[in-house]
Formats: sequence, C-alpha cells, structure tokens
Amino acid sequence: MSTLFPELLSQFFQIAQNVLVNTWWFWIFFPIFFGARGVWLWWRIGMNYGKIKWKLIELRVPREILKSPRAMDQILQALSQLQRATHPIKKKYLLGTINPWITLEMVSFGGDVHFYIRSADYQVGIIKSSFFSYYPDVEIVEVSDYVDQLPQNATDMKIGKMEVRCSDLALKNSPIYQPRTYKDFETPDEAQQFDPISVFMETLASIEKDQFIGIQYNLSHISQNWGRSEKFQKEIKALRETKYSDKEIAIGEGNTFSPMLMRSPRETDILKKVEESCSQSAFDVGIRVLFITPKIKYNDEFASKKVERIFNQYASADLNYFDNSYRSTTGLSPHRSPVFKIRERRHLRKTYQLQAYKYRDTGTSTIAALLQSHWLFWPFRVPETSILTTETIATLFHPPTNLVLTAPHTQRVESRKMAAPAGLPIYAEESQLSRFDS
Amino acid sequence: MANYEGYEKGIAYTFWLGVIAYFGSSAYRYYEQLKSSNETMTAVKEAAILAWNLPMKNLFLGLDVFFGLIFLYVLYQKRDSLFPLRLNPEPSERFRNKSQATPQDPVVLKHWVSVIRRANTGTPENLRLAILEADSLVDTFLKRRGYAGDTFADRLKHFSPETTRTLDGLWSAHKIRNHIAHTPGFIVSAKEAEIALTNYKNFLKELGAF
Repeated sequence: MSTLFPELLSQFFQIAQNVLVNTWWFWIFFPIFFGARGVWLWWRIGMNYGKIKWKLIELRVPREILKSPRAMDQILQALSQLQRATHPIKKKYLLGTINPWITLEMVSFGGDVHFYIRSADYQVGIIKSSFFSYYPDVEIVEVSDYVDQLPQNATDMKIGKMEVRCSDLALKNSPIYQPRTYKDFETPDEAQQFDPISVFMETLASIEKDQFIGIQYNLSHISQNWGRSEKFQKEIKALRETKYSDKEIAIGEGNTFSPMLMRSPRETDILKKVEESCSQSAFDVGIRVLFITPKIKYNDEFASKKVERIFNQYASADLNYFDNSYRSTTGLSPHRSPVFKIRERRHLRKTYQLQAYKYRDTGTSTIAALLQSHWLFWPFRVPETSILTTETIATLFHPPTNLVLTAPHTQRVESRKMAAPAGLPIYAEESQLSRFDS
Repeated sequence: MANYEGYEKGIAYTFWLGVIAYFGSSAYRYYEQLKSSNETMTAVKEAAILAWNLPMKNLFLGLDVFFGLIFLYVLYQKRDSLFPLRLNPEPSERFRNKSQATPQDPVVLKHWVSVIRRANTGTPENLRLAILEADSLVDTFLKRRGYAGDTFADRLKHFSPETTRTLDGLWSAHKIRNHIAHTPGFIVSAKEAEIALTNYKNFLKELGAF
C-alpha cells in the first residue's frame, strides 16, 4: 500500500508527460489562435473607432410633457432597428466594422441638469426624427462635448484637489427578469401616478456648484432574438414547469402520490413579466455613474448610497436589481478581500474610469484587457453590462413628464421653434402670389 | 460589444471538418502502405500514429507559427498603447498650468511684508509708494517664474481669466498703479489702495507665491 500510491502517481505523470510531449503543438494552437484573433480585432476595431465622427446632442425639454415614458420606449424600439448585430467576416476583420453605440446621458453640472445623447454623426438625423415624432416640443441641439473639461486622470484630481467616485452598475439576476418599469408606476388614478425619474432629477439637482454627476447608459446592439436563445429559454422552461409537493401520500398497494402545487399569484405574475420582457427588443447596456467633487466636500455616504442607489427604486426582490460591479468600482472597501494596496488600486481605477467615461467605453476582449492592464488592476470583463429591454431603458432615461417638478433644475425651452406651415404658396403662379402682396 | 457569432461558427465547422478529413486521408494512405506487412488492427493503429505525428504535426506547427506571427505583428503595431495604466500619470493640458505654480517664493513674502508695513502707516505718500512697490513685486515674481515678455502687460498675456480667477482684479489694480505713475497730482484714497493691494495679494496667492 505504501509503495503503490507513489508508483501510480509516477506512472500517471509519465503518461501525462508522454501525451504532452507528443501533442503540445495541438494544444498550443488554441491560445495562439484566440490570442491572435483577439489582438487583431482590437487593432482593426481601434482603427475604425478613430474614424467615426461622434456627435453630442442635447435634449432641451419643454415646460410640460404630457407623454408617458411609453413614447421613449417607442423611440428606443426604433433605434434598436438601426444596426445589425453581426457583420460579414470581411467587414469585421479587415475594416474593423463595429456598431457605433448610442450613449444616453443625464448630467448635472453643479445642479444644472442636462440630457445628452451621443452617437455617430450619421445616426443623428434618425435620432432627431424619431424624437420629433414622439416629442414634438423637445428641442434638439448639437453641442460640443463637455468631457474634455473633466479631470482626465488621478494626477489631475490631485492637482485640482478633487475626489472622484465612479462605478459600473449592472443587473444582478438573469436579464429575463427585468426590474420594475414605468408600467408599474402607471395607474388610472391621478393621485397615484408617479414618474420615478423625479428622484434622479432631485438627486442630480441637489449637488453644490462645484460638483458634477454624470450618469451614462451605453447601448450596444444585440440580436433581436435575445430572448429566444437557449440559455434564457431553459430558464423560462424551468419557471413554466409544474411543481410537486415534497410530501408523498400513500394511495395503497405501495404506491405513493405527490400532490401538484398550484402556481401562486405572484409566480404567475413573474412568469407573465418574464415572457413579456423576452418578447421585447433589448440593448446590451453598460451603466456608468461618475461623481466628481472637491476633496473637502467629498462624502462617501452621498456618493455611494445616494448617487448609486437611486437605481434601486426600480428594484424588486423577486425580479431584479442594480448593483455596482466590484470589478471596476473606485469605491474599494477596506473590509473586502483582497485588502492589499488599496490606495494604489483606487488610484488606478480612478484613472481607468475617468478615461472610460470620456470615451464611453463599452469594454474590450479579454486579450485586449490583458494588454491594457496594470499588475494591480486587471480590467477583465469591465465594464459589466446587462441586457435591458427598451421598456427598462425608457424607464431609466426619458424626458421628465409633467409629474416631475423640473422648474428649478433644468433649463427649458419656453417656446416652440417651427418650420413654416406646409402649403404656403411660395411656388405658386405669379397671379396667385400678387394677391398676398396687396 | 455586440456579439459577432454566426458567421464565425460556419468557418470553424468547416475548418475542423477539413482537419478531420486531412487526418483520415493521410491515415488511409499510411494504412495502404502498411496493410501488406501487418495485421489489420496493428496497421490501423500504426497508420493513425504516423498520421498524427507527421502531417497533423506539420499542419498545426504551421498554424501555430502563422498565428504567432500575426500576434507579434499586431503587438508591434499597437506598441504605443500597451499597458497604458500608470500610478502617477502625466497631468492633462488643463491641469498642467496649475501644477507649475506649486513652488513657493520666500523672497516675495519678505518684500510683501515690507509693502504692507509701508501701507499701514496710512499717509497718502506711503500708500502710493506701497502700490508702486506691490506692482513691481508682482512683476519681479513673474520674471522669476520665467514668464516671457517685454512689459508687465506682455507677461500677463500668459494668463487668461478662465484659468486665473484673480486676473481681472490684478488688471484693475495695475490701472490704479498706472494712474499714480503717469497722472500728475493723482491722489489715491485709503479705500482704493486697500482694494488694489488686496488684488495684488490674491493674485500672488493664486499663483502660489505664498
């Protein structure tokens, strides 16, 4: 017994060694191939990204919007049809074609709230027209990008005596369960109607003059059939299945019988919601929340609890909720392992996140992340993204309705600018025109 | 990033089918050679081992080298953007000017004290002299910091009201100083002198002189 085990072990190692010596060229092919493919795509896509002309447009909201977020839902539906989720091989590998993603932003410069949308220049027209068709009173203006005014890295913040907190937020359960949406806040009774974006507006407006909050939703296109993928269908199937009680009732002759459990009303509700959300179009959304403040005014409670937790007004314990991703947040806790070089790691993450906010980063491949890492920060699968349906995104970002008190927080459009009415006789006959002269 | 599956899957299937076909055909060729001198089972085994060790090895070694070269080529192309994260990165354009103003100047403080002492006597003559002196102190300080320019105004062109908050105050103080120097019989009131001196002080403070 005492000699058998080492003998077996050495035999095993010998076999393993033999296999490796004879087949290493086969196994090594996989890391080399995927590594080469990853860096190649990183290179080509990076080149293509530099060629895209990005435009930032601002939504100036009017005094009163009577439309519910349903209108925003329709706009997002239209935008989700803009791009295809996959590209032909030649376009992808030679030209580095990617879908220019759309960024929705809610930004507060010292209490002054702005709504921005960033997209590629050729999409601006489509976005404008889809907004005008649902919100005819909203004014859309092209503005220059404000991100250059923000600190760019940790050294800038040291010089400017500033503190920053930035986190990526993602859904913590499977995306077939979407958090509560505007439909849950809609009732026929006027006294019970809410627009939950008012909490965002109040928080964004409550900061002081020299502080900054930016909330960014980076929408990447995904396949229309996301809900029909195998993984999600399996989960839905498990929900649909009839459940049986653990108790077994004897029914004579040695046979037993487990009674069937009726689905509870809430379970039926959840199944209904899951099936509904799987039928909607969706985006792959990365949510980034950035809070910049002078160092003396920094309050970790406000930054972490108030700013990042506003998203949890949509949380539902048996559906889904948002939480910040610990992989990339700058708010590293000294109570969570690894407790190692926390100051330096925070420093690196601040630089990384400020750059990510500037470029509206939606993440890179694993190999590209590896090549852009530091030994104290490995940005694998950063930022964490989650699949959100258009209904959820519309709840998170829409022009505030008349239920929200916007007056003190945002600059509004006081009057409507319109084109001349159609059918004016500018191209009419000479005789007809002269009648208007006199 | 959006998902890119679909097209790739087809190519991968084709590739692996090709590899299996290549392996099978070369094994069959070895088997044809071996079957006359061996039993069937041994011939099959030998042929498979040969096919694995010769054509398959060559194919995969070739692929390894090919993709390895691609990998290295791309790394060479992207050499400037590898490992960009630094613990202490360079400050950006907007913040670089602010960081230059950190070293303090003890000489300025020493002279400033004498200026204030002179102003505190309160006589009109001393107030005028204090303003003139404060102005030349700021000028000297700017020269020591290395701001190029022939005159005081030229040196001030390096600043802009957006980045230096106290610049407007400095200009109004400098105007009073010019009045004192060039207008005969100009009398400066105690209030005006105080405002002017405060403006000089704020400017020096913002630049980090003391």
